[in-house]
Amino acid sequence: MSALGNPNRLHPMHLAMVVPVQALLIATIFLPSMYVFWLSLNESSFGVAPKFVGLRNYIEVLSDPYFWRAFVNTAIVINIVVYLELALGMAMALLFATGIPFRKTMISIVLAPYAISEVAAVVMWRFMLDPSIGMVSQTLTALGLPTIEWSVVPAHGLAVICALSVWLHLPFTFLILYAARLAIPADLYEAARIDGASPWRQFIHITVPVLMPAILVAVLFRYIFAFRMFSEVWLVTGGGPARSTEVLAVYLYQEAFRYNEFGIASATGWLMVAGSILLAIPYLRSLYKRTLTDA
Amino acid sequence: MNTVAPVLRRRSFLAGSAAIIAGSALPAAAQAKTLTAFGHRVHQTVATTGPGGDATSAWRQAAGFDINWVTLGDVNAINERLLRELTLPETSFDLAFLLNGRAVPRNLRLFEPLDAFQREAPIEDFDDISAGLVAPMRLDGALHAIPMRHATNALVYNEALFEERGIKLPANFEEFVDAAKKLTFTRPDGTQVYGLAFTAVFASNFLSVARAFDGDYMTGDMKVTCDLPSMVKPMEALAELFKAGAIPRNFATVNNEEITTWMQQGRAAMTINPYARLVSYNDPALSRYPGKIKASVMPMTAELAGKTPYASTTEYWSFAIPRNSKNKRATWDLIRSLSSKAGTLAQARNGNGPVRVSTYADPAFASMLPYAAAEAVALRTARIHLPAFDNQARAHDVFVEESQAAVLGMKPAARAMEDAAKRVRAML
Repeated sequence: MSALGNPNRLHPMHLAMVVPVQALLIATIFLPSMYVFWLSLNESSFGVAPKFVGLRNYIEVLSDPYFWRAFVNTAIVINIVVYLELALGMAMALLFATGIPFRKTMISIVLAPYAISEVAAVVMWRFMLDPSIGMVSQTLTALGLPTIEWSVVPAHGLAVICALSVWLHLPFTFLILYAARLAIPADLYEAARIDGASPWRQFIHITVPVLMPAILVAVLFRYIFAFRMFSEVWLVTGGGPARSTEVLAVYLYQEAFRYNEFGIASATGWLMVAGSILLAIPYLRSLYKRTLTDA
Repeated sequence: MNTVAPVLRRRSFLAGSAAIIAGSALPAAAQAKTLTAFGHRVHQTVATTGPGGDATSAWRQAAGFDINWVTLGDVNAINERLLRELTLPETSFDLAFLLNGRAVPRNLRLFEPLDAFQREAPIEDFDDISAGLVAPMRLDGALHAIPMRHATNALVYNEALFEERGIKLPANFEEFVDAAKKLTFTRPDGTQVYGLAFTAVFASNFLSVARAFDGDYMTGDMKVTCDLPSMVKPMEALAELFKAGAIPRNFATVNNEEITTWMQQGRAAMTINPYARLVSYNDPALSRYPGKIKASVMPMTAELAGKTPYASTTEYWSFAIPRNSKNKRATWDLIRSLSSKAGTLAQARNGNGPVRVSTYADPAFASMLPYAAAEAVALRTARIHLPAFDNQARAHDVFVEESQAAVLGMKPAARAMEDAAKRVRAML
């Protein structure tokens, strides 16, 4: 028996040992969140005292058509980005797991975009997609194809943002799935082969079920990260033309740091938190059930 | 032989620490009279570095103060940080640089009224400072800031491209539209040249075109006028140029750095930008057309030419003293020194846009900048693009959004301007 008594019983010392990290979380996350919530119930800007307005900021945000446009854009972008990344990440993880030449070099190449700053990546993509001198535009024109009008047609702008985001964040999904795939015992595939299972059936009945917890983790994290996407949109289109490619984080930024409407911005922030939680609940439930089932 | 490792005792550690702290405090005590200036990096550069010399040195020597410059490179970040400081009970910022677009009533109240200082120790020949720039810095009759640096927009053109295409400089707006179309062509090596290119994120750029029709988004007395023909017609003209390919396809997202490159490389024949950018457009180290890129005001329409003078759009920075500053009187003396004729000239020679009309008459300054005479003429009739009111930033963005929609053909110009008028009127 240890000095703290039965290790399976909660001792005050156990609680004391987690106090520092809990205090840190309260100081850096909980209290600022509560302050932002309080701000969301006030009309607040520089040079004027905050004035309590109840839920008026939430009503204003929810009745603003630009908020809903940003919401729809965000929903479109994150769904495309997350599932495209998942499909590509899975395909690459399986390809790498089967063994490819120069594996280490190839992994370095795949991970490279994760090491590039978003600003540098955007400058590079903007240059490649320049309508008159960009190599992508030049190639499309040479092939007799229409060019990508990313600064004129909102759908093209959103497509470029999706492509850039997938390119930047694919290594994250790939790494999670690749590590999980390497952990699957080879015996399972060998047994399936002996039983005459085709590669497709092996994928459906072995790979996907065993990888599912890793897939859920990857999807959940990418949903949360993509939901607050800012720099890709801000640096590529700035939310334009005519605010047509704005996403929620850009909407929030404009309200807070351009118009200095901190009440509206805080309400937008809390609505984004609520949206993230709603998005995460099905994945968290599924992950929780699987974890308990496996336990 | 046994050696004894030196042991750091608690008493010696504390004594050492105290000595270090006391030592580090000494230079601070020696430089106790320090005044902090907060603004853009360019404000520090023009005040202290260049052919005009250090414009602050005379004041520093006389007053016995040092200046601690705190600068950032992004206008939004500067304003955000400044306003955050101003709402604190006390700030270490003594001299602030305020952009006219942010000089709205809500913000101006956070700065010290300067009339008492001006009565007690007036700025030399104050009336020499452009009156059109001083007026927006007044709130309820009280002066809150002193203009110090302007950027007045011009129609910048590449003379060599005009000569190459055999086109004469436009005498009126209709000829300007025609020239923009004729200057749009593809070189044999595939390089696309655009007749007109400018950034679409500033209302002042659209307005620089509209002023050829004597148009305005809003008047100084807060009337929304963007739905009048004087604003609709220029938007239609720009939409026509975009449709004709004379304005680049990435018009809505192109930034000023890209425009600079295009002008230097001859990929754009005309742009709307401040006169001061001529220096980099003509930089022999970077430009393919050094000395060939020139500026003038936008020509008026044939109907108004010779009857109504063109009013350039201008933006400017001002000196201001935070209400919660601790060194107000010393800061005023620095402002007086920098705003004097000599101070303004020194900063102008360092690359500042001088707000004193008399500075342009200085032969040394005029010989330094080939565009000085043209800019002086433009400054005489220049007006800001929007009046100051608390929702100005939001209104600005509405005008930009609807103007972009009109030019890109997302909406007919008349409807876009009607929508803008309706939305901005609701804010007033």
